[in-house]
Amino acid sequence: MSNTLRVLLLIAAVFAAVWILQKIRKLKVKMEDAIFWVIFAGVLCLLGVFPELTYWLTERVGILSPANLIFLVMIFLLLEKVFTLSIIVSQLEEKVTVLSAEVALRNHSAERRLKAVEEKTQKDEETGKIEGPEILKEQIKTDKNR
Amino acid sequence: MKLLIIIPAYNEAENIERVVDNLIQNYPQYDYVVINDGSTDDTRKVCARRGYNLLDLPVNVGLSGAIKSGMRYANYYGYDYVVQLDGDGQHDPQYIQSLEEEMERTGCDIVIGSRFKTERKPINSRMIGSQILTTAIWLTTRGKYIGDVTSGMRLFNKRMIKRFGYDMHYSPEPDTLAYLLNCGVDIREVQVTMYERIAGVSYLDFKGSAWYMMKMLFSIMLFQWFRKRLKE
Repeated sequence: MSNTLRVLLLIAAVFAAVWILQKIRKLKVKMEDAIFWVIFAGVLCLLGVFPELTYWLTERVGILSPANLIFLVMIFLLLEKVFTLSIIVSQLEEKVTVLSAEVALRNHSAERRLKAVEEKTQKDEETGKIEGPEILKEQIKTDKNR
Repeated sequence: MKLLIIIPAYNEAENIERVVDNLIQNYPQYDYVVINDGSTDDTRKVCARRGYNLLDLPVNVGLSGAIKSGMRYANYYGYDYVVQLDGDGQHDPQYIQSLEEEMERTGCDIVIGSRFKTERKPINSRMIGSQILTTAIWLTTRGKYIGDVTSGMRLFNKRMIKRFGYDMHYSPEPDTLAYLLNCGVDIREVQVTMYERIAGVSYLDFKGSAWYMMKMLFSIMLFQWFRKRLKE
């Protein structure tokens, strides 16, 4: 494991940590979503600071080069992230679908009820029973002109 | 002073009637709003049938999202105080008065209805978690002590209503308490007694609790140092 690789790992770790903490500060990411990246940075840091750990693991797993093990670890971590993200995106899509359906439904129901009230008021006005609110008259006028 | 009780309810069809009826009958001086957090059971129907004041969220957004909508509701209608009361009937509304008195007497920003202000914590897995968080807060706030960090019964003043309604990181959880203490916000506790939930189940299982502890510890020990400190 070359020193260049170790330095690169450390730089990547620091970069990841600073970036995500900055995002927390600017209210761009929820703290629970940042935990993964902090751990990710921690793992990179460990691998960079203690090459013995990498050597030991490389031997245990039976990989030829320590660099390959580092790639493997990173690929695993990123795969896990992609996997959970994909699940979250699915759930979000479903939520948006339900949300728009619900909003449309509730709007529809509210409009229907409003219309019934409007018609009732109009009828009552015509028969001289009550005086409807001004805003309703304006609304009915604009509806007719549309 | 206008006080609003917000009652977040997720699948509380069995409990909500008891809780809100008690409020309406015995505490008519308080306004309340039930926040149905996209329940999959009959919570919405029960509330609609009984004519409760209901904020009906179309999808499930979780407790902090529900509280956020409640805080925005309070801000929109110009309330001065908000009390959070669980929809499962654990919290007795008779303590709201003592919370309010404590806030008016001391001028603090948050009052927590605490099970462990004067009484000792029992030792079980739940309370060990609670004690870890108490210790974490004590360590990071230079010795400020909050006995019941996970209590869901809290009174907020107007300043806190705005922040909880509009800031992404303000969840109604212990990590926010730690952060606020470090911002110089005054948080106090008042001893209360809570009931066991009568029906339904709590949403935290073992895996959920482990993830919860991890979130809280990361947030208290690490992330709070990188958040902007709002002074005013």
